[in-house]
Amino acid sequence: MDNGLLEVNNIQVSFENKKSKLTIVDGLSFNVNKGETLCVVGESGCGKSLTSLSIMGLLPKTGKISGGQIKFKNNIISTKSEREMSKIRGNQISMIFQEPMTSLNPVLTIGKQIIETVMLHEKLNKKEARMRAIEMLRLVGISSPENRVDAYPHELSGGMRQRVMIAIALSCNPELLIADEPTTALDVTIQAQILELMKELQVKMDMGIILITHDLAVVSEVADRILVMYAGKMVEYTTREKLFANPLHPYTQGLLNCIPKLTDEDDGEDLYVIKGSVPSPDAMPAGCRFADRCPIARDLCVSNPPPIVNDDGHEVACWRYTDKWDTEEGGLKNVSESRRIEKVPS
Amino acid sequence: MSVKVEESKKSLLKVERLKKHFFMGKTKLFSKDQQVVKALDGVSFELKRGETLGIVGESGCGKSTMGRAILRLHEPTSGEITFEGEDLMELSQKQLRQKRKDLQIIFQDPYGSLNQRMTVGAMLSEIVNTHKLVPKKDVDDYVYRLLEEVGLKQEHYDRFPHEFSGGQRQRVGIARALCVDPKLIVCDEAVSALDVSVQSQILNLLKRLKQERHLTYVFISHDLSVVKHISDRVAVMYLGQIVELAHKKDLFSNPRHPYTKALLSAVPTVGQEEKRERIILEGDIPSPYNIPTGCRFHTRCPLATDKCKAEEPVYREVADGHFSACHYS
Repeated sequence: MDNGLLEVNNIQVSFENKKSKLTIVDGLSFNVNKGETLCVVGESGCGKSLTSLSIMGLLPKTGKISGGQIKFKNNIISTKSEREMSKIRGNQISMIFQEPMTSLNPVLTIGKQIIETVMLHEKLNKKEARMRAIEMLRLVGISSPENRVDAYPHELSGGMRQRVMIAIALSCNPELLIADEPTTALDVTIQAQILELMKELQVKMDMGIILITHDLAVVSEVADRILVMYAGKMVEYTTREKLFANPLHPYTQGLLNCIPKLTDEDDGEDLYVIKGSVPSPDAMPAGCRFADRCPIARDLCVSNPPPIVNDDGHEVACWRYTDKWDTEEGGLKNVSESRRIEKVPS
Repeated sequence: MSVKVEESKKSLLKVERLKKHFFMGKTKLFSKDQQVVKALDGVSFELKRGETLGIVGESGCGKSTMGRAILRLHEPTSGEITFEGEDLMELSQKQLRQKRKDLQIIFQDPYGSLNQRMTVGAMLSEIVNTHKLVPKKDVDDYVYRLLEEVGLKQEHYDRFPHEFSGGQRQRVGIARALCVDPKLIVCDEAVSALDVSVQSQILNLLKRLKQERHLTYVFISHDLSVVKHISDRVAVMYLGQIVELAHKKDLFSNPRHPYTKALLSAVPTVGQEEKRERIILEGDIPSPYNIPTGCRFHTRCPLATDKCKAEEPVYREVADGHFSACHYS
């Protein structure tokens, strides 16, 4: 565990009010090493952004970490006070958000915003901080940073704003960078630039990166390891090579199948469809949360949450890979046998 | 039979030199210069009945403006739009409203385009009644059938837009467009806001509807893989112009314009074993206030020469059915 950076152990994130408690993220474990990129993949509402906010200690007031722990460099940070967290945040762990326009302050120049961050965490005077800001802007590939440092966010294009966000996030040399859909709002040619930049900086600074995205294609280009989430739970967790060569969970398989690919030969065929939609968090199924959309679900899946099976570092939460699958208890027959034959309504 | 073949070959929509300029106000208080955003600057193409034309390009390239200009939702500055041999630019507002029965649009965010205070049933019925599509007593049945056709249930009739998930809402948006039994549908980023698992459902639905109802689509999207999947021909736009247009096979296997090449190489692809040679374009799209001289792409083009800076390339047919606007293609 020398180069271990972040360890997330069985965390639960829930929202509570007087009447009810909603658990959005349920029993998630993963870890990130130095210089490594972990991608968290899932559809909207699966809890991937909440996971990252809980690492940062930025959960909304009504939400809290209700179980498990988060360790950063062997220190538990999930129980730290707001004050202690603010020393770590921005300094050792930084975050980039999806929409740079809403996370940059429109009435301050970008230089001011970088200087503010730097001076908060490091003992630099204004002049030095400004030098650092210019240096950071140059690092993220903004041309003539001496002039641009005094620009306001609205004067920059989307790609440039995202570069500024990265500059702010990296200005204190963080050891862990959490990027929440950093390229989703950008065009493909700009996306390619930003991903390239992040990779380059990662090597330079030996940073761990958690990249949160719904885009499997981006994942397949940058990830070292991948965590696939569905409805607040981990469904599959392994290296990129293993996941793309041999996806085990029916959900992962479905996701990979249902995206049209540029390399596909002539199609004319219908795309693969994952039937139905994500269950709502206040009505989570008792068993496997994917069961009612799963093409191979059996009785077992409907009534019992699946265990996590670890096959040589390839973790998957699915009954299919357990001994119980082909027993009487497993139900033997797929509950969706009839569903599979019937043509999936598009 | 032969009549049918004839019919299917006929062009449904013809767009010529279509321009849409937005006038933004004066640069200085008393100056005569007005800032002009040339969102659409001379676009021409032809669309056959039953065909799907994909339009791709980065944000700000004018693809959405074009979709709207075809329907005259944005009044074009100049150019010609011929739909079934009829000049749409000549129509009065009243005639145009009638014509919109044939030309419909599906928007990216159906939430913003659906009336939140009306149930889906009421909204669809209103359209049916306005256009007097069926006798009053059959309206409900008509709407029920429509809901089923787009994969919704009868019980959704009495629900409000906020009660639907993203995918279902897009189905409502499709039902709204289908309501008047159109011939042409402009899909403006119709699946871009959806999760991939839902996206494939909607794409299949659009494909099925196209076959069943003999629809023609203009499919606008920034996602090249999606466009490749659904289109017959694909047009690539850059700064208000089409830079390349070809059958999708030709375009994806043999792109002629350097911008198309760069765009294709930038698309990340799932599970790729060996990395392709990636062309990373420098810089951003120039502002449409201030379009570069010569070839619009020369500021970012890796192959640009002096000729490109000075001379605007002609958009021409470089191979059978393959159009490109590059001096060197």
